[in-house]
Amino acid sequence: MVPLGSGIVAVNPKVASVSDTISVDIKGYNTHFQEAGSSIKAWLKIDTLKLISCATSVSVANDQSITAKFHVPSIKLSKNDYLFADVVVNDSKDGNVMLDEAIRITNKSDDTLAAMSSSAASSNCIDDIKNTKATYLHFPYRSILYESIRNLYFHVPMWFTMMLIITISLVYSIKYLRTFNLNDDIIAVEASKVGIFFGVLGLITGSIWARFTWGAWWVNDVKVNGAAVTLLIYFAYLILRNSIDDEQKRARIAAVYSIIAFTMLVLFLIIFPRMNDSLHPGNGGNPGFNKYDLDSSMRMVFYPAVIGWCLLGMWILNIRIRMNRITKYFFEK
Amino acid sequence: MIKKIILSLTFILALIINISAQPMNSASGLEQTMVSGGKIYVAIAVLSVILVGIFFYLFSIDAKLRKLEDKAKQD
Amino acid sequence: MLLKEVKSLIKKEVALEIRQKYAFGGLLLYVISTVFICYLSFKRVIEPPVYVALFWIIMLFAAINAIAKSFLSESRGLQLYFYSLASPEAVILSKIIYNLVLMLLLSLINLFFYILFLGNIIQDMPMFLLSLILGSFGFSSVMSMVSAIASKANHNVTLMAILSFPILIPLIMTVIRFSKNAIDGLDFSVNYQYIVMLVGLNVIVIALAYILFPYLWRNE
Repeated sequence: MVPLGSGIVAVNPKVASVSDTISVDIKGYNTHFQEAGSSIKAWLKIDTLKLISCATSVSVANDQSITAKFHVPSIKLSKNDYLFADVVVNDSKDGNVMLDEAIRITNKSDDTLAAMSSSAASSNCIDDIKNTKATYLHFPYRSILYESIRNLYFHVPMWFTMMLIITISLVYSIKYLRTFNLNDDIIAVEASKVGIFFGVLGLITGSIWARFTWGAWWVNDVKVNGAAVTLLIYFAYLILRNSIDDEQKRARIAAVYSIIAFTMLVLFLIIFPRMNDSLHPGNGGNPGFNKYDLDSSMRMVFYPAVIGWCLLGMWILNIRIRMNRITKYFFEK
Repeated sequence: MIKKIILSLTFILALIINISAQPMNSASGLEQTMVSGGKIYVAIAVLSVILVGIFFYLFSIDAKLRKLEDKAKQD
Repeated sequence: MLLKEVKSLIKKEVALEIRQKYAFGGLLLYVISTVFICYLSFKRVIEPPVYVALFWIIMLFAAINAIAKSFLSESRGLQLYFYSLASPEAVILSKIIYNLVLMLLLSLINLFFYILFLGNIIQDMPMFLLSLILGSFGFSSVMSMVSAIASKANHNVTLMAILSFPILIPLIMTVIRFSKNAIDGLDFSVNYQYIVMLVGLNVIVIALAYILFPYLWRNE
């Protein structure tokens, strides 16, 4: 199994005062501190002030935890104000790992104007902060996703498969309206059924994933609600089919409704999520996967996974179509 | 048919036992299990749901196919 | 030619409506009694989100009752007769336009009794009226089409609700947000995107109805 990249899970203490010397316990995830040994470096980084302070000493406890001593720079800070500092650790094995806004820097002393001496922040190691990458193949580390980032290969392809198969349903519905060949209707209805099946799987898996990352089985998100309504429309499509007895008439009316349903699907799953903010990545005017969402190591698995699930869906569809034809053959006989 | 249902139920049960048999913290419960191990069990749960779903779907297709076969034999 | 057909078909609808006054009377009674029930249960000026949600829920069910009969009440023989007289495009356009007028009338009546009983908290009236027009347009175009589909499927009113509710959800959500902004008196620039969305939805649905209705309207 390809491991996850490394990251920092937590630091302790989380609060520090200016010009203090603090000893910070840093807890890493999938880090190799022991292996990296003496190459470990640690920094406190205050982005707003463009200030970097090096650790005076780093001691390794085990692979997942180190203790670093920092001298918090003397920065100008009024009494109730605070700043956030990021903690960055670099070692030869894991590259750069970082925890954003890890330590809150306050000013305990009544002296509202602490001595301003940013130059005092030792600058001998600043050049060392480079964006070095880990030396081994890994999937990106994301703080609330952790290992569940692998769901990208299961949950997301369900929707890709659903879209593909529902599109087949649309194509054959249109084809039916042009040719009035009942064979096209069989493909359209079976495709919509298999599409619904993959949609339901996508909804259930999404629900599980959401529970343990976003905190609820159902989140009020445009994409989630849109997917649910889309499935409702396709259920209505099946109910409509069941309520008409005459074959030709059923095929014709269902084809008309199927085209309306697909239009709504495009609205719900493609257009609306781009107009509103969504918890899902790649929405809110920024369609698709960008560099931040999906790095090259994940693409390497993701695209084959999508192709594989789509092929599986097509295979199931193919079997169902053939079965439907045989049923019809018996029925007519 | 009943055989198949029992088979798939045992499959699910085995999955559940497999998940719950993993080392848990003293304060057990779904939340604890799922979050442990860097949320790897979320990925496992999702994959199991998909597998179970697809298996059930294929079983139902199989059952329908059997009915057709019976019909073909009768003719 | 199309325009002439549409005109005479609308005339026919109006004549039918005037002859069957009880249908419109029933709708009127429905709207007034629901608003009155709202008044009895709240008895005070209510919050904008509740105010606007109730308003559109009343409109939704009024629309279902009003528009369901546009195709469902016609017998097969009558439909066959129209089929031989007019083009299908003219039939669906006339239905949409007639239902739009009906919905506008109903929404104005609804608004009048709403203000009478529940108080007027609408800060931007022209904007609210615009939301009424766009909402009614959406209701009439979606439901006329769905009513035509349901009428072909054994004239089933329940089926009409099942088919139309999911399709109406985006429309209702947008129109509720839009009219709530109108109640809060927000600036036009905030509402601009909702107007674009509603107009877009209406254009899409009418285009679909225009293209697809002839397939429903075939003689069988």
